[in-house]
Amino acid sequence: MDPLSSLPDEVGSHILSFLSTKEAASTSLLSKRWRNLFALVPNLDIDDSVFLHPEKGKRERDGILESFMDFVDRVLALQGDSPINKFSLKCKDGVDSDRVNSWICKVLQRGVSELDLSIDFPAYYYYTLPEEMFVSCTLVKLKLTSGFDIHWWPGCEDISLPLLKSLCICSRRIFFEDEIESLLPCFPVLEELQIDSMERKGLDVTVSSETLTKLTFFVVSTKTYRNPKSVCFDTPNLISLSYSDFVAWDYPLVNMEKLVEARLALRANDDQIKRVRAPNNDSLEDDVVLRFGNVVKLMNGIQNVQELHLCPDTLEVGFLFFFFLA
Amino acid sequence: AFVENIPEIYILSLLFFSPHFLYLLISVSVLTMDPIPGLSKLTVSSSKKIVLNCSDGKSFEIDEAVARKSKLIADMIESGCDGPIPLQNVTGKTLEKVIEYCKRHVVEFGPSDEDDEEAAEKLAIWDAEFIKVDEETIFHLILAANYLNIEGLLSLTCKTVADYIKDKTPEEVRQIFGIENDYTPEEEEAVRKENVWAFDPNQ
Repeated sequence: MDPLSSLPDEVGSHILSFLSTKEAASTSLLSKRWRNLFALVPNLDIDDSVFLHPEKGKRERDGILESFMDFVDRVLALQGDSPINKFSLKCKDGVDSDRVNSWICKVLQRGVSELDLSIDFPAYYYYTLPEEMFVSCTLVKLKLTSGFDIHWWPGCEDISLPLLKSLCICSRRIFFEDEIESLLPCFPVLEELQIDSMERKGLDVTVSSETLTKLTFFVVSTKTYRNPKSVCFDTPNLISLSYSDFVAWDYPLVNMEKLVEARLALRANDDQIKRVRAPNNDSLEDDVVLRFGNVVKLMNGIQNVQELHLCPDTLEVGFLFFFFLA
Repeated sequence: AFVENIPEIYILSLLFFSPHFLYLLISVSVLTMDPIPGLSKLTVSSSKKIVLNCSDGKSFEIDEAVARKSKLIADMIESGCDGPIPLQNVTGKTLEKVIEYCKRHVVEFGPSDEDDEEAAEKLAIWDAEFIKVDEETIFHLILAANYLNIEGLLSLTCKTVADYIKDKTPEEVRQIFGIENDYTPEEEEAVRKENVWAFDPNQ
């Protein structure tokens, strides 16, 4: 036998682990020895759209999606109960959502530590993530991506991810059952949190975590364009912050003394901007304009930062006050 | 060099007892920016040597720190193995190359001029040059790294082979590595069907 084929299984699969699952699967054709070797790789990346040589119309071709789902079933069956490290899945409509959830549950059972799910099921699927995902005691890194809305559906009494260090949610919007204040204790060792567009819940926001070092937090209010009443950051070990929201009326607590890098986009609606720009003395008595002054509290809280990026609105709202109140 | 060869204990006792020597040491340390000249070099690596015997009779003597890059050897040292270590599965030629890798990858302590990113880049360039060997040598290195349990070398060699497989058709891969296709046409058709999602129809 040639030297490559005569390598022991664990070495052969180590070589294949440097290839995508699809590339590794194509080695099954090399010879009998290679037929199922690719299934020994403890990382799986399943992408229903990537082809070695992309061809128009291939996705819609009869049976191709069925063969894709059968392929995943077969690989998972071949892998049995062996431990798995990383499972990444990318799929869109056409793929059976029940089967998708069975795959996710299977890898969770096998102790997966990194889950990267890019599931683009349109709203009419009423797709919900499997509840097993919210109570995994092996998950260290979780990434959810979708071009549609994501509902983080269990309340925090039903969530426990004790090993989770990194959580990243990139979707059109993300809806949480609870406030972020009650949610963070469900991830006791979380270091990195990225939420690309959190739909606003209440008007008082508190981000409190001893372990968080990197936070990206964009709040959207597509239902009510209201400014939050208060925003608190109790994150003493935070090093990097990327935060976007409407300007809050108050920032009662800003505990981020280790912050090195900050990107702030504090938005105001058109009416508020107009009142901030008005050059007359009435501005100082204007309620809206005065309350914007609390932005200074946020700026003071991050004064040790080495790198600061501000969007134009933030500059206008925040810095005008340094002249009046400083 | 004179100062470096004096054992630590003498340097320290002289410090206490000789004001002139102290003056000399201070001025030397100011010049070299080294608190006690030579002391940093004394603490870098233990001078214990390990002897490795290959399957073809060749013998190598290397620093313990270098030998410990192999988890197999490190475990043997931990469990009290003192004398020469027999490595039945590795030939002299392969072990020489393995030792070259381990020497370069031993973590260096003490102050360095370059930062971590620069050092990592340099190491990657060295690795790329190191692995430019013929196919036979790569397989010997893979087997040696697997047997000796040297994680970095195993990953480097495996990735190199994976790069040869990447973006190639099965027929091209068979040609590169001399793999014999022992499927019957029916079996091959069945395998294609199993993994049809993975294949380009023109293959």
